[in-house]
Amino acid sequence: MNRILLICVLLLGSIFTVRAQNKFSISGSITDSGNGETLIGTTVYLKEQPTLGTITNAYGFYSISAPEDDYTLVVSFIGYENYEKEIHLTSDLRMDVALHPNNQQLTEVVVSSKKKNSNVTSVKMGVEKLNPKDVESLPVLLGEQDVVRTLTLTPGVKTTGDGSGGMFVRGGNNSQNMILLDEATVYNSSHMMGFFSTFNSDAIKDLTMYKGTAPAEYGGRLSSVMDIKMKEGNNRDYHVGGGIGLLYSKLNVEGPIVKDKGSFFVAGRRTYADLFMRMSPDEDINGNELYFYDLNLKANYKINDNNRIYVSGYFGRDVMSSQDVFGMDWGNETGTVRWNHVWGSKLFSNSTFIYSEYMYRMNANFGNLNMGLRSEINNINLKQDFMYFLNSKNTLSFGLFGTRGTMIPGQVEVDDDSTLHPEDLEDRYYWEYGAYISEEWKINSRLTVVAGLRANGFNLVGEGDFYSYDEDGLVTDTTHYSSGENVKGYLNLEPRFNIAYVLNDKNSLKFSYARNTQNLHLIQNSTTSMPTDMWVPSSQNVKTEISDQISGGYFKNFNDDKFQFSGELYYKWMQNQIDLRDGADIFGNELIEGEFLYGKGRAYGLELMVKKTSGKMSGWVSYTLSKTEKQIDEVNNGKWYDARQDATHDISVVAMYKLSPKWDLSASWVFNTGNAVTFPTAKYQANNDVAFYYTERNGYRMPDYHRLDIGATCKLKKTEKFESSLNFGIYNAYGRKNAFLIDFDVAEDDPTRTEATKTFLFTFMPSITYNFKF
Amino acid sequence: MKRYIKFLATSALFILLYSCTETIDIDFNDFDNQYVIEGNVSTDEAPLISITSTINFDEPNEFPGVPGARVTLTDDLGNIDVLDEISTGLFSKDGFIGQEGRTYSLSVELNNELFSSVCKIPNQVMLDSISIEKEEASIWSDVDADSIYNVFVYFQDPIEVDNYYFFVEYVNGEQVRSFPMSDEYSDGEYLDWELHTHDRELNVGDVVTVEMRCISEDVFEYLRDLDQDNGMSATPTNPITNIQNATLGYFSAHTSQRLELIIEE
Repeated sequence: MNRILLICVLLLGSIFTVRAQNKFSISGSITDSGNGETLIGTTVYLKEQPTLGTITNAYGFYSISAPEDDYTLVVSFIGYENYEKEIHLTSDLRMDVALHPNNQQLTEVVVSSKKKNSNVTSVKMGVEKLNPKDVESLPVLLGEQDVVRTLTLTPGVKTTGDGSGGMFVRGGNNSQNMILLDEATVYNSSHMMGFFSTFNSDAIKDLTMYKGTAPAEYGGRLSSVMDIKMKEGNNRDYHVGGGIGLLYSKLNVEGPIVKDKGSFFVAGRRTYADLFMRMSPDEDINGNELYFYDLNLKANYKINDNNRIYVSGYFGRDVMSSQDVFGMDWGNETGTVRWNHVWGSKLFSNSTFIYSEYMYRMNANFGNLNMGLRSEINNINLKQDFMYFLNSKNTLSFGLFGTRGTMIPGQVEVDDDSTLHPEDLEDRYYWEYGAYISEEWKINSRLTVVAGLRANGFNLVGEGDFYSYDEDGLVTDTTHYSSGENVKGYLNLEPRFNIAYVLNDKNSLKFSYARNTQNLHLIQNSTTSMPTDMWVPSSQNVKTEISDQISGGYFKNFNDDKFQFSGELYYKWMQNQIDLRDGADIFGNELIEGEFLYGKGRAYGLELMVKKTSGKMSGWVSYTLSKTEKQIDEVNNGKWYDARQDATHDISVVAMYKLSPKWDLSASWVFNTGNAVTFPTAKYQANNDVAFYYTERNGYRMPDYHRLDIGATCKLKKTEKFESSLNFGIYNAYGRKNAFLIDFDVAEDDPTRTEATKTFLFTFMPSITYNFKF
Repeated sequence: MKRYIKFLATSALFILLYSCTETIDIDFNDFDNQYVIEGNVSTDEAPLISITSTINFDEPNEFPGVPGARVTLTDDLGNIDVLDEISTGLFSKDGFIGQEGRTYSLSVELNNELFSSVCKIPNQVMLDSISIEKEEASIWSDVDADSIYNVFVYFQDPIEVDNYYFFVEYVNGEQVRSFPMSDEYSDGEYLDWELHTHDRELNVGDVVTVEMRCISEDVFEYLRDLDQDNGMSATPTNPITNIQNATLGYFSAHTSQRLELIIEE
């Protein structure tokens, strides 16, 4: 560890040894000439000095430094016409460029939006990236080209199948993924038990996922970061887009607030499966409600060349209820206000204020008893980020952040005349704060290094009663802390290090090391993720989760960059992992920490992917071979055992075929080894009934999961003014009965036998969506 | 209360209403057979200690007794009783009745192994009355709407004492279901608890008997966890026994009181 710190210090020191001699900078922002949206990841370079190049940042801003001379500035982005302009560099230059969409290229299938070989030359590894230009060529899943879902079809990312919203990255748990929507934390990332992602693809401008190798500006979760940026809206003309489908409909509106200066974007969706249910003559079905809706809103205003303000928000709710006896709703809310400011031509600053919240609420009527509960977690966050384009070889990112978080487990409300005395669980408050610095250093044309360090502080504060526990989870001591008083603090340093060595423009080797920490822990007592899963903060009992990951990869392009190959190996150590005691009681339990067990984890694997990025047929094949294990003294006699999400084999095949200018076809097939689960091994009799005897945790496997989805898109009309298309899809096309859960009970038709029963959800689900845009 | 909360929390799996099921074969792991000791000392009847064993999942639900044990009960006054094996693996003693407030020790010697446990009979809480109500059909019902009945129990919970109850429901003398409950959220109240069921049929003329037992905390936890043996939990497990050296089973010394009524038109 010390050695890594030393390297960081040396790298940062190197900045100040590079002397600038008559150098000037060219900076500006790159936008789409059609709608004014800023373009992320655009390549900007000088034709005469191609090594003096850069890519635009998350706000479309770039800055290049070069000695005084005459140059040709080149801006290129796939899907756009190249822009070239001769410049005479004698002083700092501001060059804002609007790129023209290239319709010729758009008809080609493009999976990667980046420079054709940027997968090879970029220093990033363990990264998957998609942007709206790619959406046109995504597979159709449940009648929609879903960006988030498509991302889970890449190596190292595992989903657990039907009816569970979980995503597992490189052996990490579902709760170890940071999902950011315009920088706001989204606590629950799925609608309807994972069948739909929280995010409306129409509203997404750019999506990047880091599999534990994120730069130092990101933190807070062990396994991955999914950074989603919403569309800003067209600042030239008003447009309306939408879709009408069997399961849901969606609509978006965008347009200028002040032409060329500011724009807005609004998108909404709602499912209406419940409307069909109401038509059912069956009373058991027509009294039920089951739907979700969500809204994305964003507005931005460019005050001048150096100042721009963004306001964005998200609101989503899932609702389910049944015949007045049971009702529940849950959802996320986020709000982000940002101010971009350019100081001179080299320093880019972004100031952010964020609010995010997740809540669930439920009520039930048990005949003589009415109960209700509302539970919430929220945080307010202030962030200040800087990007300093020091010179052609060094870019420095640094920043500060501070968060105030509140967890409100909620009180169970009952009828006034009830004999129940509900327990009021105390709210919990925490502060999380820190700073980071990261430097990208192009040592030479072959070697690039990104080194960074993040310091993350966490303090749990009062007011409240806090407990200490003994080895058996029994309370030994209770201490009362007053409001704002420090209960327990943790400070962690997280070094990050990426290095890329380009062998030639078709081959590269990369290596990365990253430490990540996590102070909010999600407690799940079920084999599937539920809206009611509980967040708990680090405390005197629960320690900061820590992971260290090393990974190495080989990247190769062949056949004129038409095919991309990547092979990555990773090994991850995880400390202070939480699991539950046997028979843990976590609902409404004030002493929940007494139910926890602590141990360590390890995960390692090989990820292979071959991707075809152009031509009539495009797509990819990905394969992951991996192992994820845990070791907890009190479980399975302290032996290493398979984590629930451990999957030996994980395969995704995605294919898109351009049949004609009118028709696009797509298919995707996934396979993964079943989850590790706990099944009984034998049975016995107790209390006049059959009981099951369990011998070890996670000693069995669910059946292998596999599924084929097929889809087709038919472009009905495409003119300047109006576009429309039809999406057809079939989910689980060959009707695989994938197990959602397996339970054991006395056979219904024969009380002298016991049987194992598999519950499965949708076997064959067709969908049709009509999409339009004008 | 906990049951309700847990029920609420897992009800989000509403989606299961739209699911299908089928039986599947599982390839079970090897295991070492375990003895299962169930011991009951009651204030109302002779003690009953049964010793059975685990069997393979695929075998029929017959759990033969394990013979040849030496079973003794000792009370906190030092009285020792050796129980008689009244049938294979089943032990009792005529004339032995548990006393409220007294502590009993169970000892089982079997094939050179010794299993032991200690349990105190809690103070009795009187069950005032029971009633039965016909229930409207709802989405929770598994059986015919005409035959759903719920039993209510009425009693005063003593204040500032942790009480644990075990209600056993018998229909025409057969044990049908049981409910471990605690006063954790209802301390000191006059209680009108519903023994909530949605899948038990009753017919006119059936005799319903409710036995209320006051049990100890560890037995309550055992019976509660035995009850929650289902496939949704991420960590299904064996309930924690209060018998030393054993993996499965429990020893309960408890009070007992029975009330009955007949289903009328």
